[in-house]
Amino acid sequence: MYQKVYESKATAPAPINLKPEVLIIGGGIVGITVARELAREGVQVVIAEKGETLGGGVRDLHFFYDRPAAVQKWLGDLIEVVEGAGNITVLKGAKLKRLDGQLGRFQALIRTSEGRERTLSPSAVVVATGCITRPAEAMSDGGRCIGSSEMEKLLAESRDLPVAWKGQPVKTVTFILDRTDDDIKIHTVNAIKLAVILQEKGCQVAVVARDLKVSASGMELLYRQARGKGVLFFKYDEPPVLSHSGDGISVEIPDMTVLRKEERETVSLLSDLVVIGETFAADPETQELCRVMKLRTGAGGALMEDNPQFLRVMSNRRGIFLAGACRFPQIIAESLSEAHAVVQEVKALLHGGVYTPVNPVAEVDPPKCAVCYTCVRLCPHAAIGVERYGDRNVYSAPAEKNGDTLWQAARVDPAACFGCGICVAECPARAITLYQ
Amino acid sequence: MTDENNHPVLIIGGGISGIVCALELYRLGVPVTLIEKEASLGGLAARFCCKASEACNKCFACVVDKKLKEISEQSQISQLTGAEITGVAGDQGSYKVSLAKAGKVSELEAAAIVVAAGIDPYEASGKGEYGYGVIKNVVTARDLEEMLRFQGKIYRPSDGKLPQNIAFIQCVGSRDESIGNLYCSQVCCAYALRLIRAIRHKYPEVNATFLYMDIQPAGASFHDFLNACREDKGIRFIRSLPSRVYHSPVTEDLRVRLADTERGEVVEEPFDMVVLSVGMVLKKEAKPLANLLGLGLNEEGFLASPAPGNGIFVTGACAGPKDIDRSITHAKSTAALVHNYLNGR
Ligand SMILES: Cc1cc2nc3c(=O)[nH]c(=O)nc-3n(C[C@H](O)[C@H](O)[C@H](O)COP(=O)(O)OP(=O)(O)OC[C@H]3O[C@@H](n4cnc5c(N)ncnc54)[C@H](O)[C@@H]3O)c2cc1C
Ligand SMILES: Cc1cc2nc3c(=O)[nH]c(=O)nc-3n(C[C@H](O)[C@H](O)[C@H](O)COP(=O)(O)OP(=O)(O)OC[C@H]3O[C@@H](n4cnc5c(N)ncnc54)[C@H](O)[C@@H]3O)c2cc1C
Ligand code: SF4
Ligand code: SF4
Ligand code: SF4
Ligand code: SF4
Repeated sequence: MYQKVYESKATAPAPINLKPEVLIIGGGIVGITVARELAREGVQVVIAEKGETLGGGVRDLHFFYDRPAAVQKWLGDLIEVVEGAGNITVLKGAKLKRLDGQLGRFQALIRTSEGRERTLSPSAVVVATGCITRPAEAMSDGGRCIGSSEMEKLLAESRDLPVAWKGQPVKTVTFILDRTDDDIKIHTVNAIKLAVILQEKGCQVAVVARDLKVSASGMELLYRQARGKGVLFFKYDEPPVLSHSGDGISVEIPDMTVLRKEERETVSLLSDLVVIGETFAADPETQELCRVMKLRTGAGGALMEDNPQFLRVMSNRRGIFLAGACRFPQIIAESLSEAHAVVQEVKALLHGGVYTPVNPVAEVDPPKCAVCYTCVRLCPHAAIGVERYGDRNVYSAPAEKNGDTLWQAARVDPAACFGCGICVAECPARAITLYQ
Repeated sequence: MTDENNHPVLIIGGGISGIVCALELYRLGVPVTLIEKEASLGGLAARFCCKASEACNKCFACVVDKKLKEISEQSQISQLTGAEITGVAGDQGSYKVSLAKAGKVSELEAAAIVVAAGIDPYEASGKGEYGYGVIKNVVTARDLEEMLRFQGKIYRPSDGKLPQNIAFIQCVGSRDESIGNLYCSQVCCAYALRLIRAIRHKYPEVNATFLYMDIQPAGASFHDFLNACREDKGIRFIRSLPSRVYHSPVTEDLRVRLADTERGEVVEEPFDMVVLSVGMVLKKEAKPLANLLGLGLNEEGFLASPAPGNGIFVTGACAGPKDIDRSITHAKSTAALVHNYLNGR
């Protein structure tokens, strides 16, 4: 609720023209999808990808859990479309160095790895920088514990041959889930998907989990299929204990199928390979990106929506959108659904070619401004800057620059203001008013 | 209002998915007709309660209220409530849809049709062993939501007293071979835990036991929420689905037969009330509609996605279990697809 009764004003803020130009940061599956869809609408798109290839995390995947298609072929086709589209420019080795301005007049400075710089003036920016994965905790000798993308690669490379690891046959595999990341579905999806393939190739597979996260389309059926093929499932409350045993690893867990505690025996799963899902983490570079873009981050440094209920896929700044794993690691289908929601938001924003503020908007009365920067710091939507002011301030002395006197005052950009009223309440000089 | 016989898009189902799809198409300048068979818009989710405890627990119920308000202020979207589709003729790009509203039959033309027919909560009496419909103090989560939303309190149906000890039984109607529902409903773990937290906040003296198979996560903030639940001394987590609920016909108290993995024995625990966390099934009315439109069902029994290019779209929970958040995201992306289709892209 707005704290203040806002004043009404005869002159409405001028509408802001929006050219159909969009900058996408991150060329993973989400960035590519948004680019392709917007380009189909005739929008000029630039993808700034910091790496040398498009595709992001999906490049490490080979199998979908829900369809037989080969992931790399699917991804390759998509990349081909995007790289071949006339109105999509892909900048590789590219990083956003500066972002000035606001909705409709953003100024983005991008530096590529060859040291070249480009200035763009997109109407909207989509952040799709994904996340990083940390290798699964290996056992001390770096031995037979591998990450799930390594298992995926092993299976893709083995083709019709039996699975082998470093030249030795693999007969027994144990997946251990939920040691970290207990709120992420990807590990369960991956483990069951790979377990089915391994079991079909003649391995004995066990999956040890705290909770089987089957809340995705078709997952319960896949889980049952895996059980039908002989994959063993164990659930734990206390994480299993791993130890070396001969040439393999022994995974020890209490047999929870026996109800009476005293009779419960420890099952030990002798495994040629143990697979532990990679840990998902926010990309540390995202912090820098957020500083440049004045975006908010949440737990663990992931990007955060301003209001996850009402302003889904929107950042704290108007005209900057978020989707995919930079927010939260999800399975491909869910990431893509978000990507399409961003497409819709951008389409709706650019529709008609102008933006007219609909919410109350704050305005600074420049003579009263004491240039204390309180509002600049506190505005959650980065809508306030300090600009040169042609007249004299009442409370503040002019700044000196090259011997010239320079009067300044805070200014709210009406396109960026959400009308939250924070600045109005906090301005010590009472220089700000909300206008409807 | 524009001539509603000529709106290019017809959306069938005025739950959160249909509403959002209509609002989003409206933002793109596409005139839409929204058809709802009930007397009011909102669907199932318009009857849920706020599940905040100390802070908001992100159940998304209030988002439905907000979207309902938005669409009620939108006279440009024609909204036909109490209306049902009785026939569909024509094909690709020019459908003729017959409609019955208050006994009167009319015909609409549409270039594209979006099906957002939604879901029904699982009919809990189908699991006879839990006694829903027979035992008074066995309620469904949906009953509990409506109790909290419309009466602002919880009580035992038998005597109106505050239950001190509530059991939540998960996966009722989902992940269950015996009834042929081989899918996870994806929402019931989260809504049950949120309900528990909201109840514990309102009535700290009430204890809850959560009887489950696996806990399904629900989005970015779920980790912290789940930790808060696990640290709450008034919530017991038991990984075991009960086999039966018994009741005393005199006191209407309940006993739940379950394998208590903590104590290591099969016990019959007393409870004041049992809440069945019912999952979702495809809406009954969606099936005749699917027949009219030539839509098939997928292997989980929800509407399969239609072949692209014929102007028929399926969105929201009728395409597979979804919470409100993902229904909205889905509906938004459907709006963009419909717009593409209309523009020949
Ligand atoms: C090991 C693993 C297994 C998985 N298994 C499955 C599975 O079985 N099934 C499933 O459905 N999903 C799975 N996923 C999830 C799937 O990969 C993600 O849903 C998907 O990668 C998310 O895409 P994205 O575009 O959001 O992010 P990413 O794929 O991470 O792409 C982000 C891109 O942005 C670039 N970038 C980052 N920061 C910047 C910057 N500052 N400037 C410019 N560019 C930047 C990165 O280089 C990268 O190319 C798995 C993921 C991993 C990592
Ligand atoms: C017990 C329970 C609790 C839940 N709690 C939560 C929660 O806390 N948080 C959350 O995010 N999600 C929750 N969900 C999920 C939530 O209910 C769904 O995500 C949401 O209702 C899906 O919206 P929808 O619009 O797709 O379908 P619905 O809400 O089912 O709406 C469909 C609409 O279409 C109409 N319709 C159907 N067929 C026709 C026809 N032939 N002609 C005209 N109109 C038709 C129906 O009357 C209805 O109004 C819960 C679900 C259940 C079962
Ligand atoms: S808080 Fe008030 S005085 Fe300080 S910079 Fe902002 S407008 Fe000026
Ligand atoms: S009202 Fe003030 S603090 Fe709030 S968004 Fe607008 S400028 Fe920023
Ligand atoms: S708990 Fe649910 S209804 Fe309540 S404020 Fe949060 S999202 Fe809205
Ligand atoms: S969400 Fe939880 S309660 Fe619902 S079906 Fe899935 S596992 Fe069972």
